[in-house]
Amino acid sequence: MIVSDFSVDECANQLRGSGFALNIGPFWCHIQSSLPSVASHITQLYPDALVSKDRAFIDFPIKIARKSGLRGWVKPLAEFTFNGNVPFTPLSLDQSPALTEWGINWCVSAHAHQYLILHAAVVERNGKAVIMPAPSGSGKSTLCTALVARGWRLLSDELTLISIKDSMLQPFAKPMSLKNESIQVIKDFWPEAVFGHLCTDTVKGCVTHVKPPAESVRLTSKMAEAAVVLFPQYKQGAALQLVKKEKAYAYMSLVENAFNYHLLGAHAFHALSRVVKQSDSYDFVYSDLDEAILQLEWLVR
Amino acid sequence: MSSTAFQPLCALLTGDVTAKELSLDEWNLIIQQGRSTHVLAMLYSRLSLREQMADVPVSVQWHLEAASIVAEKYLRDTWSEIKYFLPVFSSLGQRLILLKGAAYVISDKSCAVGRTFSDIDILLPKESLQTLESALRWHGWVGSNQSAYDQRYYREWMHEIPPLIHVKRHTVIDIHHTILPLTAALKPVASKLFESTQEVVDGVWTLSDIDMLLHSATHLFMDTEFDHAFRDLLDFDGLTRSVMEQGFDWKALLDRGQEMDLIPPLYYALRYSRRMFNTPIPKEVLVDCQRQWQPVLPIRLMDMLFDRVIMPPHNSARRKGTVIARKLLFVRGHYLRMPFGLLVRHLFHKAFISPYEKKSTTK
Repeated sequence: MIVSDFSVDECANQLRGSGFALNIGPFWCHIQSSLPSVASHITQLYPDALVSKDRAFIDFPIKIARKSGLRGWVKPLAEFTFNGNVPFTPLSLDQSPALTEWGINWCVSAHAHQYLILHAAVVERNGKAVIMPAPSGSGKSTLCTALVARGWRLLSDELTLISIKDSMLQPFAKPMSLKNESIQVIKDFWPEAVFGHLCTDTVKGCVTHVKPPAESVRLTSKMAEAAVVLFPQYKQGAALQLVKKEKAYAYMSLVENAFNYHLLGAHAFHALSRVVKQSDSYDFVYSDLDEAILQLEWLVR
Repeated sequence: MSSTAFQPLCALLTGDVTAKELSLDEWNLIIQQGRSTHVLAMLYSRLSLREQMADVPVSVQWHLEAASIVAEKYLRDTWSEIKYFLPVFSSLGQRLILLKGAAYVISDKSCAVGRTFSDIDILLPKESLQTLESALRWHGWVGSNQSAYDQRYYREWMHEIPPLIHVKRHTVIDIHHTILPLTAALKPVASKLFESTQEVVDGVWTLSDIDMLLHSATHLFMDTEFDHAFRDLLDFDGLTRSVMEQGFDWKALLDRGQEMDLIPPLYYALRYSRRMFNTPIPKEVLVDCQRQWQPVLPIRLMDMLFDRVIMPPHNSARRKGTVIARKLLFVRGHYLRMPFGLLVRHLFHKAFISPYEKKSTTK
């Protein structure tokens, strides 16, 4: 069964009651929440994800609830609970969809150490995966969403999961997050895109999420092989620029973007070496999305 | 144990049940409870040792493997810290004596493989504290920012000095000069601990096996907080099983407990380790221990309290009265650590003066 087999009300009732298990990438999250905004976030943005009401084994038990207490009368807060613990400070109730997404990302990056986890988007075409690590504000998510709009397979817009056993890339397709100006850019570029609730005034500014294509969600167990490591940078008005970089540079830049490189020790070293060895690396400056996509399609031709 | 919610996890840890016998529902609880009690990596190492990892359902395996990778990191870091300590200690002519988690892991106790710990505990004679502290400062370990009251609390009344943190690596060490607060009613003689230490690796020492057991019992049952009680009791179970492998002299343990004035915590540890983990402690040992000392309050009442706090605060094990049991044992812990007058004074300071001090220092 997938989420869209249920009506919005059925979904909300189930989440409010005993919750349900939702399949995201290789993981099953058991989600419980009485918040209508969480229910509508899931029905809108996870319609193609597998769900189960009676799955016995769950990777991440999650609850998103309104925080009780006096303060809630003045400013209602939403709290994310994992396995009975509250790993981060509550956010305003209005931001609960973003809280849900960040919480799930945290569950993975804090526990799934069978992967080397990079803060990077990763998309695939013609069997060739492109890893795009970049700091916030570099246009990584925008470029990733635009590529997905043009038929590339989404593996993840935030977390690149590299298996430490064989360095294959594990898909973790979930809603893609967009911030501030990039929201309008994508609305113009991809008018058919399905957007979630706009969370204003978060630590990252305005944040919203875009539904991933059904095909990407369905192919969740189809691992991909890294072929390109791309360091994208959006520069207004700049001419397109693709500069090949040496492997040592790529390796060190990927280390800087890793969540658990030092924790994994030798496992990380071997996993990342294989990725860098088999990939070409580039610095990539772009200002026009169509032009950028054309260039990248040529790279993975 | 009265609550069976933790039974599968306990039995799997001790080997009373095999990986094959468990249902996916049970695995679900085991992983969640194991995560909240920080024992997943220990579970991994034990199942690997028993060659049962292949019997763990595929969807469950990664949780154990990932936890073991985290534990490997702890072990690497601990060794690297020890390599920094060794020259400092030898330049002062001091033995590096490890306590608790670091001691269990470095001395290669099979029960401790995968054990994680947040700081490294070290034991040192009280008279050497000052020289060591200043030597460590030269190597980057500095005291955490604490009020004058906290400094006095630690230095005059406690069994350890305020934690030292390394400025670059952010590792934390706790330096103890004995194993109970100086103000506690029970008075173990610290010098006797040093007499029977053992060298486990070149230049690295731990307490003797018997003292290690006594210390494990003491810091669990004389404490005020029980956040790690489940894992600490599992330590006691594991240490007990490991000494029993070579034919253990129980009388020596009780005699040493008597000599060190630590029979009360030993009594509790033996009782609850047996209840929770089915530790094969002979019944006579418990009876002998009981003959020497019994709790003032009825043991049924103590059972009600300890059963609740040894169970970790996981939803699956939540029982009525857990919050109040924690509070009562918190008060009990303080009462055991300090005479009543001093306790009143300390709690008064913590409640009414410390918050004000904190405010004025952050301004």
